[in-house]
Amino acid sequence: MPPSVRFAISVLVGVIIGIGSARYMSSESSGIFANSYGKWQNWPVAGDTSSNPYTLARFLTETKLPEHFSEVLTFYRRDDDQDDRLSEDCNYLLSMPVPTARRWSVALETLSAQTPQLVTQDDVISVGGVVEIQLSNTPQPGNWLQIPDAGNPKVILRLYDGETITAQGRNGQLGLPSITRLACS
Amino acid sequence: MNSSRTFWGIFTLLVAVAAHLSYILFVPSSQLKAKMSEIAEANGINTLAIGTPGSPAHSLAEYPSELVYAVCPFDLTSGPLRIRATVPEQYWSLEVYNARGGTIYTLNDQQAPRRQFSLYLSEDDPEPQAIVNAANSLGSSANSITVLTGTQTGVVEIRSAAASPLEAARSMEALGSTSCEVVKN
Repeated sequence: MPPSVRFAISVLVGVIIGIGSARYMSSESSGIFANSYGKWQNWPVAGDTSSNPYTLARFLTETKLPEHFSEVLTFYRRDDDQDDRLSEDCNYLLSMPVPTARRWSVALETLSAQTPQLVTQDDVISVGGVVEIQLSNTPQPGNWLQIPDAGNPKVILRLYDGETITAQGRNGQLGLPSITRLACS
Repeated sequence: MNSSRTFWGIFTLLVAVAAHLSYILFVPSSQLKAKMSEIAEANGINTLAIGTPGSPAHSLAEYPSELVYAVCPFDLTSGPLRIRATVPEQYWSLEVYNARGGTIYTLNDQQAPRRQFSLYLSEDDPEPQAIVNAANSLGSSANSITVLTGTQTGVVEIRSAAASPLEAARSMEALGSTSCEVVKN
């Protein structure tokens, strides 16, 4: 093979590997630079000037400005407690102690939905200091978030006033929700 | 033969490393810069743009069902920037970013000195009298915050709660009476 052809192939392969690996490492799905809290993940240093370039890239390549962790902590997950992917064919129960954050929300985002389903601290009924929200494709009694028909569901928990919550987390009181599968059709 | 393969293998690896670093260090910030230019073209630089659906500023909104967003791309070449902010009686935050998406400063509704205040952005080593003069000329010196950015360009993003129609209305009213402009030296 002539050297010029080898050169072109090497450059092409190198560029594909280099850019591909950079995109993967900065993607949400890789989770390499995300922190894990049980089944939940978040990007702990998003928005800080000391954050690594992969964390920044995770937001900036989507032209989103990362919220500083002192303002909001955002956690997400795509699996239930049995490590199975969330599915529109199943019903789930999300359960957590009422967050002590001054403001919080739980959202269900899918690829197919334009805007995520959302509940905030003002929308839910809590009993005995526990919030339970059913995640289901069909209407459910009590607190309910609809899983649309298709699209890789992702549950997002946002806790406002991140400094307070981070301090509580250090004492093991973060209280992130469990997601239990109830039944599948 | 083997030495030739080793050479091209190492060459490909070096190209991959160069492409990886080039992508991760330069592409995300250039995408942010392009988005800021788009917003500045639509609304002007040093001007607050509210992220209404369909506007360039709206594409920055990561959680539009939960928050209203407003952005002010800034350039401090011609003088300090003044943000005259109105803070609603609900969750509200202001975040100043440098041109690479790193956070310089954050403030929320509970930290704001008053419901109406001025925030000045100045590059490093400002002429102190210029800031004092600007503040005094507005009669707001006792009610203002000055932030040294260390950079000439960046963006301010304001987020305000909008999980319900009432919250959204309060946020739009507050953002409608918030301004962003250069104070001439």
